[in-house]
Amino acid sequence: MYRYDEFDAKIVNQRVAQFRGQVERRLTGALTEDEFKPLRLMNGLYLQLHAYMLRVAIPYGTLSAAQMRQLAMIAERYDRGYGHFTTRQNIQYNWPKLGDIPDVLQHLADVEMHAIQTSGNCIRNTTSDPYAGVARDEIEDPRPTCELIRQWSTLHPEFTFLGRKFKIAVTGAETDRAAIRVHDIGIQIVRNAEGEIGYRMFVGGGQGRTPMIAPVIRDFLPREDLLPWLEAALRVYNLHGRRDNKYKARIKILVHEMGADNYAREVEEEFARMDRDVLTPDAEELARIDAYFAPPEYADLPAESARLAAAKKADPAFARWVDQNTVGHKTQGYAIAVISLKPIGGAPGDATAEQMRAMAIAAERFSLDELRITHEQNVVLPYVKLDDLPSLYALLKSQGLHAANLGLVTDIIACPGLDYCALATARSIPVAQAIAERFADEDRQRRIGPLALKISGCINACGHHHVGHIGILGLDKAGVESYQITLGGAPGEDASVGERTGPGFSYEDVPDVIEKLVDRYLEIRQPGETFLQTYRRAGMPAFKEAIYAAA
Amino acid sequence: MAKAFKPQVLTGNALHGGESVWWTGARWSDDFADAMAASTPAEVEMFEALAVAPFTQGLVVGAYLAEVRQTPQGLMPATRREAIRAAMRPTFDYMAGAEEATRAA
Repeated sequence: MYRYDEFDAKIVNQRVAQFRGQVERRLTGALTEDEFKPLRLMNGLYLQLHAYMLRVAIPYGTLSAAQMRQLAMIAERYDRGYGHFTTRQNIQYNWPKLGDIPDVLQHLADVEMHAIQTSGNCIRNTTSDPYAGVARDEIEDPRPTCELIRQWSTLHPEFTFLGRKFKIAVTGAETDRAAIRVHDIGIQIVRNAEGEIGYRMFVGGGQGRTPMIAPVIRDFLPREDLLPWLEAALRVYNLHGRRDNKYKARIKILVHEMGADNYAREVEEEFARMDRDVLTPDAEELARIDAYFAPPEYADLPAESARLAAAKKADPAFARWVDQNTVGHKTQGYAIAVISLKPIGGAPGDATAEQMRAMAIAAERFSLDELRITHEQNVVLPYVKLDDLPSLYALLKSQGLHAANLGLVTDIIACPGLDYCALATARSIPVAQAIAERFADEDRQRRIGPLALKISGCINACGHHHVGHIGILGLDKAGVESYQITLGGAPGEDASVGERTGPGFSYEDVPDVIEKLVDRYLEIRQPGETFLQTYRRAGMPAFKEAIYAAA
Repeated sequence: MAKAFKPQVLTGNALHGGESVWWTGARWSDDFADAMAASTPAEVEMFEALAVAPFTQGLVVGAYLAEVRQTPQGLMPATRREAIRAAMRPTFDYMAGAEEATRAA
């Protein structure tokens, strides 16, 4: 994992001291809210329905055990004993008090974390593949690239007041687990015909009220050109992006209105004109970053584990968990284990302080001290020996962290919705809970197979509903919650935006509607077909008929 | 035709703690039941002035007027959003949910 150098540490500590002074001045009345609001937002502090909300950046979703423990401590001491892992691999605290925030930020700085650029119209935390460095289908570990972008984008003076927020995601694998095509800039690490590794640059994707799949703007970018090219791409956006209407201010609108070819041409012109050398990191710095992500020393293990096989045989629930929640590792004898934060009855992405500590212990004992947060609001242990899976499972089970539903219908992404969020128009979490309860039967979930259900409580789409195989969007229709359903969305390398079924449904009816959609899929699927495949083959009418036909 | 007058309360979030608060006519309270409703256009104007007054700025963030309904049980928030704020908590049992997940072992 990356460790702060003296500059990183200095920036973060100075920022805490600066914000401490700003909070003091606000509390004594020396600053008005109008003056203070932009300052608090630059430090990740929002005001929601019931309280302040602090969003803490988890760089490309990677955490050490010590950092996870600190997050647990903060949850316990300064919040109500839990935190919420978000769809951008961050964590949010829902109940902190303003006067405590400087202390919280200092505790974060002590473990090399912060809340800088988790809000506002700047470049946000770069997100990535949660299986980075351990995926079998990876061309290159994306984390050094993410770290380079983190350093370049942190407090970047030219891009501190963009027209709108700006999100970058990086994947190093063919299978896109980072949803790069629905980001402002998506970066795919690729190999060209000569065998050189570089970047394929997607620009202008996004969700929100105008969902768009990003086009490729540069098919192959040599590695050393990354930062200059990003700077050119952002500069063209900063110059030409709209500022008259916040709903049309994202880069996707600019790329769409200019046309991808014209946008690409302007970026290349800027790229050719600019002083690229000042932005190209020297080899020594790149090597310094790379060293932090060097593969760990793996043990030489057999491909099969007798201990694992025996434990699976003895405990069918454990066997189900292994089958569902572990993923093939690039190194023989190891597994990627995914902790589901979607227990039936829980709030998607929430973890108590005790659970966070258990996950920290799991990382220390079984995963070389490391954890990853996924944009699907789960937690990954990237380096687990097959032999250790039974002990890991026992530990997780003792804390209710053993839901065996990764990628199934109850592994629902949901934003906080109207229960917490000042922007929301309808509730999300209770809808997710009602659907999860309806499909609680594990065998039934397994029969249904892979199904990504995603719920947003407003048009801003934090719950990624546009790219759900089934998406649910909660709206307010004359004071009543109404839920639109979309079908056929996908976030990955085959990205697509879901299509609306038709008129919305009431809060109470949503679980029935979802069940009808799932039942229709089970009726018409061909052998081996997933929900998404069936939808793409059979089309909307078959599903629409199931939910709108007269009763 | 003039729109029917709707009573409103003055609400916001406390500066230090962030919790929802309502104007009682004399002070800010974290209990919706204490809220005073503006029931005449003149009172609404007074609330609007109070929302931006320095006195409010020092105690409350983002003060605004929210519609309420008079019911036999007393004042009720007119929207679900305001009802959730008045309840001071999410509509689901978030603490129990977290604890239940822990106990489910």
